[in-house]
Amino acid sequence: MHRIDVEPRQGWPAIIEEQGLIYWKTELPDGSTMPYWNESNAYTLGSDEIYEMEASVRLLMEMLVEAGDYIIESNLFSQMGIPGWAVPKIKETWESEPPMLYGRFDFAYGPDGFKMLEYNADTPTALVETAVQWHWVQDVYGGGGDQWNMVHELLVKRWKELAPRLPGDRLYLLHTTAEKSGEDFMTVGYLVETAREAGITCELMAVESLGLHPEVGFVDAAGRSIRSIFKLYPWEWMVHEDFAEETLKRMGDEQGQTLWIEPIWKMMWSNKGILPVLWRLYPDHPNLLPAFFEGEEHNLTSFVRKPLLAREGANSLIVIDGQEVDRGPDQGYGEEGFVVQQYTDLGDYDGNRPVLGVWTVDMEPAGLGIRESNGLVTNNLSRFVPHVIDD
Amino acid sequence: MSQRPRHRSRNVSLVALPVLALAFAACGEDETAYCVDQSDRIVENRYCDENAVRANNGGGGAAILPFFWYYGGRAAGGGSLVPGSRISGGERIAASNIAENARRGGYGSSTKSGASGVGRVAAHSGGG
Repeated sequence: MHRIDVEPRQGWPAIIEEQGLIYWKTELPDGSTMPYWNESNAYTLGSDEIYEMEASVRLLMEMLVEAGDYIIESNLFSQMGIPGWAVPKIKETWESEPPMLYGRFDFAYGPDGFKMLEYNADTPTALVETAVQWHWVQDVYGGGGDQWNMVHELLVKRWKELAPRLPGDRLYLLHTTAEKSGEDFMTVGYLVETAREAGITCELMAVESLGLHPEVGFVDAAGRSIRSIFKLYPWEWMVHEDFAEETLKRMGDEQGQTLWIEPIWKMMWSNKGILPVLWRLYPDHPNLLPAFFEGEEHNLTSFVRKPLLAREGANSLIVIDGQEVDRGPDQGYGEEGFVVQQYTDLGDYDGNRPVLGVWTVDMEPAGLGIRESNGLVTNNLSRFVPHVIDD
Repeated sequence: MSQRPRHRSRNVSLVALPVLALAFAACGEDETAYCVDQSDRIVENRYCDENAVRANNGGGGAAILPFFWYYGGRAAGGGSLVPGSRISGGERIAASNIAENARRGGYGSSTKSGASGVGRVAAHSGGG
């Protein structure tokens, strides 16, 4: 993999905004802004590297299934900070397999190959960026430009498979209005787009507007019963909010019930506790880094300490040779516990450190989106950089 | 490898996203509901409220009045949405509908403490 200079397209901000990436300006603490989209550079990869990633992800998905079984058999829920009263539904849905849609692995790509940093199984973002980079490669490289990017068509294919399994006459796709840049709104909007293409009737809705009626169950703003939901709102938050109990009680595809995508069992996969579980089951696997629950015995001297549930690198801490070198912003995470994962070098490309996001749709590897940062923690100041396959 | 898998998308046609971008810029969802009569003419909210109360009390034998809550509409004549004007382009639901009994706001509280959205990177710690 290489990082190259590319001539940005004339008028690129208008182009990407028109394609849905309206949140490309990241606001900095001092009030200034920096672009989150960087098309002055690109990462180039060979097809062999793509095939290797694809194969690794296919295998990792199988390993995640084993890990889910293991968590249930060993009853690791409290160690993972998952409330006990949610466990019966997690187990039940793990067995009954209600529809799941997508996820995103994050990999470091160093001299030892691809190392899984984590798996975002519940509410992964950067979908719009992934679609926008496809337009970029066509604009810049013409018909010959290739990219690992089957995300759009695999999402449409997946929705087509799911359509007959969705109760009700329409699917509600929920975003949170608390997110002001438009990122969450447009991410859900993009999923609406793919679901519509698959022939599903869609309603875009704020999670804050969701209503609960004692007889009807969940209802929309107009009082119509909601039977199927996709939510870009994490289970780990939902289980601590007011509607949680009723959500679990009314989960299903019968009248008065609601089917939720992603399913609640994804609380197992999206939890950082999945990292030590995978390492316990598959020690020395070439795509895994040694990882442990905090408190478990280990001999790591260079590691990243991550809260079980944090997002955007919040409350993460990087220790190299016993010394703290960097930490993410404090957002009050960590009470639920921590994991430690061996530190791995992301590589240094002119001072930029890339993380490779590999999309999965259902169980299939689907495409690549790369974000780079200057610091060691890939946080919300990272930049999305398009990629191109160069052979 | 004899047959190489295809990597590129056949075609990504983003039809709705530009429209959504405009919707977000215009700041999105107008959740205002208007009370209308049978011919979608705006009336005072109290008609709908009385209607709902009556329905929820079992009607007491009286006929349910035909008033509706109207969502997402515009003034039919292009004027302003005031009592007397007709509304169109949205959706109406009988005011007697049980929707009025729904509790709202049960999700969304986690965003108020800490992070705003679900997380741009949602992936962290690049550092491994």
